[in-house]
Amino acid sequence: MTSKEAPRPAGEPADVARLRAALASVRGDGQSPVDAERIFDALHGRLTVEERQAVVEELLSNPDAAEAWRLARELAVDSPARVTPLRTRLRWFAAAAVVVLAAGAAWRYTQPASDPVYRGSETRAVVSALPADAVLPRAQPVLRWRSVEGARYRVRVLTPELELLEESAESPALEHTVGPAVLQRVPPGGRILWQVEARVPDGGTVVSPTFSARIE
Amino acid sequence: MPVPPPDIDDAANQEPAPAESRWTALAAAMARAVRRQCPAWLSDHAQDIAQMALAKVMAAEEKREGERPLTPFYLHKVAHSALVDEIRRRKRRPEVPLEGTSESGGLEGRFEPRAAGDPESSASFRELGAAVRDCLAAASRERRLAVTLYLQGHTVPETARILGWDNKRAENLVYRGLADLRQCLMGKGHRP
Repeated sequence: MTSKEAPRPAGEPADVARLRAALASVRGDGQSPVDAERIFDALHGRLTVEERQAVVEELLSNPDAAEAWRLARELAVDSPARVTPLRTRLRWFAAAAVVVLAAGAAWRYTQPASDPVYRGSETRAVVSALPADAVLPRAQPVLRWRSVEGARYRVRVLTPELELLEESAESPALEHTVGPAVLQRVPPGGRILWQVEARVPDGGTVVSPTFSARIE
Repeated sequence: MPVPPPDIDDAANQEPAPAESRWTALAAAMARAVRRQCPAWLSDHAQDIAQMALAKVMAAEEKREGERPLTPFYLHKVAHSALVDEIRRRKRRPEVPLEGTSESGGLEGRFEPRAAGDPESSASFRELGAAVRDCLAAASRERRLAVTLYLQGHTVPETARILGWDNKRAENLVYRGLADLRQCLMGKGHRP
């Protein structure tokens, strides 16, 4: 991730997230040679333009290299000592949003086809009812959000490393209790990411930003 | 472009120092470099990863004639590389049950990030991914580069910086490349 991560363009087509997730789903055999240091250099601008382009070319032909590239971006985001806390947080959330959107796209791929939707046209929003970076009691770890009229909701819970931990069934409830299997995987004080997808009566969906919370 | 790591201790390059203390200082600097990049879920293994990274540095040192300055950036990069290798290795481990906790209470087994859905849907999704690769492979080089980076999750300005283009050029190539990609996918029977 870059130091000046820009927000996603408002007009970005919805299919892009699905295409990203589909491309990321292509797994290598784990045996292809990957030069993680060279990828690091390319991502940090330490190679010439031609060399960087050659590395990018390899991402398509070598899924293992593509995986290493994605990890390099994520690890760059997770380096708290490198930037001011605010910038780190912004970059961390931006990276999380990318992958959560990709995970969401994978989820939605299993749903019936619908007309393309452009993000800029959506005016409803799912807003967290918890304070930023809330600390949830381990005995009652409840995620809450504000209502979108007539909507039913699904919740996804992820690790900071963007592993999908839990996905709720669709429900009209405005809260979700984090399950015991998730709690088992989160150390005391550990962070989780969460995201809500609201299915509204006209058949559309509204996806929340990625929120963060800590488990006591 | 990511910000270069600015502040890893330069202890390994302190002079004068006998070889032993130099490596001791290097080990400490490497441990810090690993910890600063290590995801929380892997932090229990940071020391082991630092050792692997250190071994890489030592192997590289042995191949060289004379000593090369071990810059903070270099140490950060080697630590990063060792972390990427370890994460990839763990992702390829067979899944273990949730009950399989380590002695320290943390889960040893990690799970591939994956979307919910039945195996058939997952297979279809991978088919779409393979079709995306095929379509991009057949695209013109510049559009392929632009869309490959964009689909790796980069924004247009990031794509422009990495590929050495201006934003407008990158934007055009991403836009046209995506249009080509959609058309190609539809030709293969996929809904973009």
